[in-house]
Amino acid sequence: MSPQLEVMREQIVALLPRLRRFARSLARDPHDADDLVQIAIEKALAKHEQLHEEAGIARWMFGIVKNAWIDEVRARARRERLLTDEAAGVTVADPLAPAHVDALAVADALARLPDEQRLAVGLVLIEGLSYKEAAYIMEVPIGTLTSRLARARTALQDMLRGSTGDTR
Amino acid sequence: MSLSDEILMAYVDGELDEEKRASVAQAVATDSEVARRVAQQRLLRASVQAAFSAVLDEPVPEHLVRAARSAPAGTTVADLARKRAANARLRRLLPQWGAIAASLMVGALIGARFLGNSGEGVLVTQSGQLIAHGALAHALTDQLAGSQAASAGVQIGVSFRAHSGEYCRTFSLRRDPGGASALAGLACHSRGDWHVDVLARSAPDDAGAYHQAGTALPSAISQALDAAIAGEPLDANGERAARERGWRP
Repeated sequence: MSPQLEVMREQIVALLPRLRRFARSLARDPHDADDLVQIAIEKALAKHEQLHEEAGIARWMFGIVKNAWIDEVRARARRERLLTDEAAGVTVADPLAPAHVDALAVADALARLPDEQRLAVGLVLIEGLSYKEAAYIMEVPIGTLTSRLARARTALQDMLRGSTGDTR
Repeated sequence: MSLSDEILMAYVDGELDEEKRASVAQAVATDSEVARRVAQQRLLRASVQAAFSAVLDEPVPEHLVRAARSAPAGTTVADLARKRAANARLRRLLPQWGAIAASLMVGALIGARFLGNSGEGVLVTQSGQLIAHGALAHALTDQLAGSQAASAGVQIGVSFRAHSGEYCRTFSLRRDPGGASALAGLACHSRGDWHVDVLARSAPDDAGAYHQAGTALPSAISQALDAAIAGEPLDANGERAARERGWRP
């Protein structure tokens, strides 16, 4: 096995916490999020020759997670047209600490955003990437990214105000 | 000076060039309304970030580390599209498998032969499909591979998530100790039932004992597993979590 590939594998291992966080911002369910990461790892390794040095492995991996998520969203939409999901809408409420409630409210609000807005929030606000990097990963012009981000923020602000009754 | 929301967001995100940044900073210092809007944007950014920061502190699941270190590299393997196609092929084969299984072993006989004489069958047919029943259904729903009694009539092998999103588990049905043959199968959970998609005879090893892992599975089962599996088998925690979710995708 090439030393280069070995290095890449360890770089992916080092990125796992961030990839999991990014996936969690896209797929609400932690298991689904980890499934996305797993699929991304397999895809990345299967086409590891396509990584260009200048692109950087983090950006490359985020892009693969994004694509895996989009595939999954589309597949899910197809399935849901075919059958009703019995599990949908079933949530179990745990007793929650206030900080946890806040985090849940944010995650709930995020989950209600349109997919492309959620992606912008995940990359810029959660992962802290620059507009340029985020636009590259989303394969859109920077202007498109910034307007999605602005709409997402306004919507989040409104939802979070509504959910907590807090006008800040 | 009126500043758009987009400019203030870019300011908070550190995306303005030096000249613009300085002019917004100036406005923040002198205009309380601008200061309030910037504070609101900062608070939102911080809340969103904080809501997900705990993920970084979670231990990374072992199966992901394993995938990164040892998933096959190159374009000839791990091709998901190919796996999906194989999975679709498998599904087309299923009615046939079901028919073979049903003709080989009929209803309650299976229960009597493989699970002592409780009298209750472990497989029933329902609109052409083989469904786990009785002790087999209970074991598939409740039994964890890590903590099952070696003497249990049903041994659970590998649990995993299929490309279809369903949870699937391999199982073996034990015959009397020292019996010459046993049954192994693959069942997937859908709408409250375990569909037995593949069923095959397996020979117990020399000691008549049971293997739990995939190694002892008849090739028909392990091939079906390879075709259906999405990612890695569930580890003990994943198995327990899936059980708690009622094996719902």
